[in-house]
Amino acid sequence: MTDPFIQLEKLTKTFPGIAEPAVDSLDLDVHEGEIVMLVGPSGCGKTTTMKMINRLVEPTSGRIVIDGQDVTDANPDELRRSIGYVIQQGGLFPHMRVRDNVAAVLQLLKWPAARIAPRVDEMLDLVGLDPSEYRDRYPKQLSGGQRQRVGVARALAADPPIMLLDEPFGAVDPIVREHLQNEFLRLQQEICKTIVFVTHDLAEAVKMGDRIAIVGDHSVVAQFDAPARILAYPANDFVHDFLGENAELRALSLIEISPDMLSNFPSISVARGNVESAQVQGPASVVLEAGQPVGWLTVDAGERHFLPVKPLALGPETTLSDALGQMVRDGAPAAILVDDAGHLAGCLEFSAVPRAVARAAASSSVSRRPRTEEEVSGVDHDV
Amino acid sequence: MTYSEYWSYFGEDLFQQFGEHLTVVLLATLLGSIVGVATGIAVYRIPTASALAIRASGVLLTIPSLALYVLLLGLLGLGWPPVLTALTLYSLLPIVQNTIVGLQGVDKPTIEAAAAIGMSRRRRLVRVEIPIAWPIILTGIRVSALLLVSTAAIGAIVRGPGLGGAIYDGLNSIGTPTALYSALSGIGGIIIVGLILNVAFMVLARLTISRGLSD
Repeated sequence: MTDPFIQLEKLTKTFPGIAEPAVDSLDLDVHEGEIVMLVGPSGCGKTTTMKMINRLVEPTSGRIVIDGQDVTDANPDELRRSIGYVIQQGGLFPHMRVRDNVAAVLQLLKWPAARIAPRVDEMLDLVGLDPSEYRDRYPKQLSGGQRQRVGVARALAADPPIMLLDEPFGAVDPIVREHLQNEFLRLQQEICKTIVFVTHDLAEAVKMGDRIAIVGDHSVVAQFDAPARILAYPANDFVHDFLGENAELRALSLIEISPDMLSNFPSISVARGNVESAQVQGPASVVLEAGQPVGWLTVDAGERHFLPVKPLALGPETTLSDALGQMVRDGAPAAILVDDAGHLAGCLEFSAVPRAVARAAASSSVSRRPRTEEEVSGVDHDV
Repeated sequence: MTYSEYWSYFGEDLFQQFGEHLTVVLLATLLGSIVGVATGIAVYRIPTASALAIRASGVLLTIPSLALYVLLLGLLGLGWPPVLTALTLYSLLPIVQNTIVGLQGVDKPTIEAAAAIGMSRRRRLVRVEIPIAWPIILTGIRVSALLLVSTAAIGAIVRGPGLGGAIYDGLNSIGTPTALYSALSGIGGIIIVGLILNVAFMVLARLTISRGLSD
């Protein structure tokens, strides 16, 4: 493992007039190119912690090391120009047009005007806003989601290696938030920034994070690990309480179904539209029409039932959660999975689910599910 | 004597007084804006200093203008200097107060965002805080200017510039045929100065307030 890109060492912040430190001797390592989520109850000091990285809040004691360099006493203005920062609603300057907002850092870095204009357009394109339509607008002429995108574009304009995000998607409605989250993850695949992301929303943390730091009072890190491991093995009562009941269920959506989890059921091939003719081979069989699974044929107390099922495609998109959904929704004995060609790959039985969770939690390599091309290209840009 | 006869005698004087009135008001507003905005910028981060600055400029405004002119007469003599000084002092309260209120009202996350992208304190003030507070600051300046339009008239008591002279002439010649004409011309001219300033400030607001803040 290489040296961490951001190292916080014994970082402490005491605000004047308050005896208890807001952040107490915090150690945190963030590796290059990963998304670390700081999640915890409000008032726990997670935002203060994040703001110490770009020294919006000056630490009382401790060290901040970025890429091997101690920046605890560096010029804060220069430090900040190399760290992107996105806050709720984007923190845009209301009196500036979108292009001037995005160009703000570039102007500080004294880019020549001839390079700024194309860079602004490039950034707007990157966040899915048509430059010709949006560059001359003012923030108030944008929707919440669009403002958020401009905020991201501004933070990325100077190509800083580090991004700090403070509840960036907190002020938009859940549907837009989901779009923005997906897009941000897609973007991260391209830009590979080192990201510290503050949220109070556990679901967001699980979805976005490579690693999650569960933060308690005074910014004490209660657990710092991959989402699946935290969900499956909360380190202590605080984490357990914070996760709430059914934390294990959340883990299901993180674990991809792999071929070795599957088992074989008998299958029956029938001609198209001719399920009635099928010969029952056991209590439950997969019905194949022209090689493609279409459902289950079950025998219950001597009666045959045909249960149509839409099979799941094996791949990084498909998780245990989807399989369980199919079993519960359709009352199927197991989830049917198909390969790329649509042929039966195997079935996932209920008993395989807890085994897979235990195995995923035990392996430290599980981070979040990788994202696929479909997800990358299938995002809606009109949010 | 008809008004047109009066006008043919005194029209030129009236024009000059009109010009002087407009000039003294604009000049005092400009000086007051420089001093007032600078004061506001100096104190707006410090609550006690802000309260002090607003109170002090408020006290200035409570001094009756007549008394202030006479007071300044001893120091600055007759004519322009006492009038310009008095008007500048009177203009301070709305400008100082609106500068402070405007700057204090700038959304904190916006200022923090400016800091976070690496803007220095000074640049933050010039590029972000003042432009966002500008509609409120400009309103203060406009209120001051309109306030000065009427206050300037009293400057005639120390032989000051402006249309106060015409009103004063009218008062001094009560009983003569021109008294009413003089007073009315002075008043009418002052109203026109006020209207011109109003239009000018509307244009100024249109030109200097970001469209991202207005509409």
